Amino acid sequence: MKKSLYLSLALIAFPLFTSCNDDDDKGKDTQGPKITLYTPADGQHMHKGDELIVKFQLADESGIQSYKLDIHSAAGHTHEHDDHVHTRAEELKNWSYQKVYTDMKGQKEADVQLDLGKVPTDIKGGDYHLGVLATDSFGNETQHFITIEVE
Amino acid sequence: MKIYLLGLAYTIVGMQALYAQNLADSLAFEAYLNEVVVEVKHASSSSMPLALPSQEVNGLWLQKYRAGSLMQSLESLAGVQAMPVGATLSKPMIRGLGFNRIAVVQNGIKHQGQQWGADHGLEINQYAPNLFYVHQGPMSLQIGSDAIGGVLEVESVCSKPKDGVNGDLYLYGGTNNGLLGSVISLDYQRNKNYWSLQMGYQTTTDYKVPTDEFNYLNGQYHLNKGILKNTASRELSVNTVWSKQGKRLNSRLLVSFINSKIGFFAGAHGIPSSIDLARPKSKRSIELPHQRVGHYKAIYNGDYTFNFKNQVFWDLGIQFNDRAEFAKPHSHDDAPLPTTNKELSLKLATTSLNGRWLYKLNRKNHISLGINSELQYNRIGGYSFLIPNYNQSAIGFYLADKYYFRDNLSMSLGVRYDLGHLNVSPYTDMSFDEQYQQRAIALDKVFHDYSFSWGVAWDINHSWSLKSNIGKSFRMPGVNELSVNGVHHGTFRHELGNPNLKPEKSYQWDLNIDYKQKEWLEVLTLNAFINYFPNYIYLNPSGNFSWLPDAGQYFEYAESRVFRWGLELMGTVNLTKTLVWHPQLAYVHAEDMKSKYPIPFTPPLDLSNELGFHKSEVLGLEDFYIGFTHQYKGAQNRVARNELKTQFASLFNLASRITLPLKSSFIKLNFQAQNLLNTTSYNHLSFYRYLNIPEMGRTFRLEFQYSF
Repeated sequence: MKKSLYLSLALIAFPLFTSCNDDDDKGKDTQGPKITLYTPADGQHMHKGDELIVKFQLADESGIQSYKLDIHSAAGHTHEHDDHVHTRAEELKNWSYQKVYTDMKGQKEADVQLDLGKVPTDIKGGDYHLGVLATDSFGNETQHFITIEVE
Repeated sequence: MKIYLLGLAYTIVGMQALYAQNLADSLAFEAYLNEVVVEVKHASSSSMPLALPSQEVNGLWLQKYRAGSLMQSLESLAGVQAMPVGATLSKPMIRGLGFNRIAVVQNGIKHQGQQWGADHGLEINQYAPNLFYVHQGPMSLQIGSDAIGGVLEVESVCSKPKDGVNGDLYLYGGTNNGLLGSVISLDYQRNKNYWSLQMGYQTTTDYKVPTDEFNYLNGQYHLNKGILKNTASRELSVNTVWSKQGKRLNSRLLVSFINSKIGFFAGAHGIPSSIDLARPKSKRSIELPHQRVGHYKAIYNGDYTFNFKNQVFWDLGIQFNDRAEFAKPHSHDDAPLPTTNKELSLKLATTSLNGRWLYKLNRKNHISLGINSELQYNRIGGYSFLIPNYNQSAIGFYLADKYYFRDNLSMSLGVRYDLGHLNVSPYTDMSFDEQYQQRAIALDKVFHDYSFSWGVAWDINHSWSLKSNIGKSFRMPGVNELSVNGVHHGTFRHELGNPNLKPEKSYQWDLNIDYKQKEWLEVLTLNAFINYFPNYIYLNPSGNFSWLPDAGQYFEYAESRVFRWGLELMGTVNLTKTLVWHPQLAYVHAEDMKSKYPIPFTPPLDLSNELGFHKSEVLGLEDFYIGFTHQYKGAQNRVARNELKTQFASLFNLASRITLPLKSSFIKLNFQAQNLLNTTSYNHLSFYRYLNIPEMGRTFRLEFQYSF
C-alpha cells in the first residue's frame, strides 16, 4: 500500500508543477515591437541614384523606445558564401548607412516614413541588407531585415 | 593520430606479457566502486567536507548514462545541466548557474579555460578513470572565486584493491552522428605504487535533427535530411596518473592533454545562407567555421602526515588552454580583408598552488587552515576581437572547522578572505570608426572579498538524515564584464562592459533531507535552496541602439538584486528484487527583484522517471540491465527580455547492458537508444537555441568494453 502511495504522490506532483509554470506566463512583457515594412520589398531591385524612401509601421503595447535603420553589404560581414562578392575597382566602397531615431517618446503605434535621399552613386553594386530594428520601453527588440539588389 | 596508433600497437605487444587476472577480483573492484551513491555523505577522497548536498558518481554510472560529452552525461543528475554547443561539446551548469559561477576542480586545482563564454565546452574527457562529485551550493570557502553555484569535482582514481596489471579497451559508436571512438586504458599497481594511462580518440560526422526546416530572423531555411552541416568533430585525449603511497608521504601526479576540433554550424556565425546548408562535402570533414581547443595539464598533489594530529596537503598545477576559432575572413565594410582564417586565438596559461594544514585537535575537532593561489595570463590573436590580453593573480586564505558533537552530529564552520589583482590591456580596433575603436579599456583593479560557510550534518537515525548550510560566496567580475565594448561574434549583441563592477556576492541557505527505509524505499532525497544576490552581474538590454552596422541595441553589464530558489527531489525505489524505479525532479526559479524579469538561461522544470530491470546472472552472462527512462522538460516561458521561450519536451530513452565473463577478463556491452521516438525538442540552454534548431534526433549508441 505504501508503494502505491508514493507512486501516486510522484505522479500528482507532475501536473502541479506544470500548472505553476503556466501561471507565470502572464508575467512581464517579452514581446518586441511589431514591425511591418511596406517599402522597399524583399528582393527589390534598385539603381544607384534612385530615390530611397523606407516606409514601415511600428506597434508595441508597452510603447516604442527607439528604432534604427541599418543598410549594410550582404557580403561584407560574417557570411560563409563568397559567391556574390564583386571585387571591382578599389575606389568603390560598400554602402553602409546606420541611423538611430529616438523621437518616439513611448508612442504605442507609429507610421514612419524615412526619406533617405538618393542611393549613393559611389558605392559597390550587389546585395545589401536593409533592416528596421526597434525596441520597446522595456528593451525588447525586434529586427526585420530584407535583401535589396543595387546596380 | 599517428602517435595514437603507435601507442596502441605498443600496448597490444605489451599485453601479452601481462598477468592473468582473477575474474572475481575484477567484479569485486566493480562492486567496490558502487554504481551511484545517491546518499549525500562524502567518500573519503573528496577533500571538501561541507554540509552541502553532493552527488558522487563513478565510471560505471557514466557508462550507463553516457552521452556525447562529460557534461551531457552528468546531466542525468538532478540539478545538473549541460549547455550544449552541438552534439559533442557542452559546458556545466548547476541549478541554473553556469559560466563563471561554477568551478570545475580536478585533483584540487581549478580548471581554467574560457568558461566565461557561451561557445565553450568543458575540456575533460569522460573516459579517463575519475570519480566525480557534484557539489550544489556556494563553495567559495574552499575554492575562492567562481564557485558561487557549486563545484564539479573530478578526482583521479589512484589505487586499486589489488596489485597487478589491468586494462580496458573501449570501442564505441553511435548512429545519427556517425560516432566512432576507442579508448585504451592501462593501469599497474605494485607495493603502493600506481600508474595508469588512457589514450582515446573519437570522431563524429554532422549530426541530424528531426526537422527539415528552421526559421531565423524572418527567413525559412532548409536542412537536407535534417543534417546540420559542419557539426562534425574529432578529439584526441591522453591522460596519465602516477601515485605513490608512503608511510608519511603520499604523492600523485596527473599529466593530461585533450585536443579537439569541432565544427560550428554555419548559421551560428552569421545569417545562414541556403548555399551553406546544402553544399555537399565529406561527412567527417570539418570546414569553416570551426573551433580548435587544446588543454594541457600537469597537477601534482602531495600530503604529509607528521603525526595523528598534523597533516599537510599541497597541490601544484600548471595548465594551458589554447583555443582558436577559424572562419572565412570577413571585415567591416571597407576594412581590408584579413589574410588568415584564424578569426580568434585565446591562449590562457594558469599556474596554481594550494596548501592546507589539517590539525586534528582531538577526535571531535578538525581544523583546516588553507591557502589557494593562482596566476593567469591571457594572450589573444586573430583578426576578430572578443576579450583583451590580461594578467590576473589571486590569493585566498581560509580557516575551517569541523566539529563532531557526537558521531552522528557535526557542524562545519569556515571563513575565507580573497584578494585578486586584474590587469587588462587596452585594445584598439583600427578597422572601426574612431568612436568605436576602443574595444577594451585598460584596467588595473584590485578585488577583495570574504566568504563564509556554516552548516550542520545530522544523521538522526537509521531512516532520517539532515543537512543545513548557510553560506556566502563571491566571484571576481570577468574581463568581459568589466572591459569590453563591441559586437560579440557569437551572440551578435553589442556588449558594454562596466569597469565599476564590484565582486558579485551570493548568500544561500541549503537544506538536504534523506529518508531511507530498508524494505523498498532505498532512499528519498530532498534538496532545497534559497539564494540572494545583492549584485548579480548580467547583460541588460538598454533600449538604445548601437550605431554599428548589423548591431542591435546596447546590452550593458549591470548589477541587479536577484532572488533564486529551487529544489531537487530524487528517489530510488526497489519495486521488486529486480525492478528499480528512479524518479527525479529539479526546479529553479530566478528573478531580478527590481525589474521583475526572470534571469536568462534558467533551466525549466526537469522531471524524469527511470524504470530498470536488473539481473545479476542470466544464461551464463552477468550483470544484465535494461532500463527505460521518460524525461519531461517543462516549457520555459519565464524568459528574460530578448530571450526565446522554449516549448516543453517529452523524451524517451532506453539503456541496457550485459557482461560476458571470460577466463581472466570480461567483455561488457552497453547499449543506449536516446530520443527513441525521434521527438523534435528544443533545449532552452543550447547555444543553437536562438536559431530555432532542435536537439538531436534518435540516436543509438553501442559501447564494447574488454576488461582484463
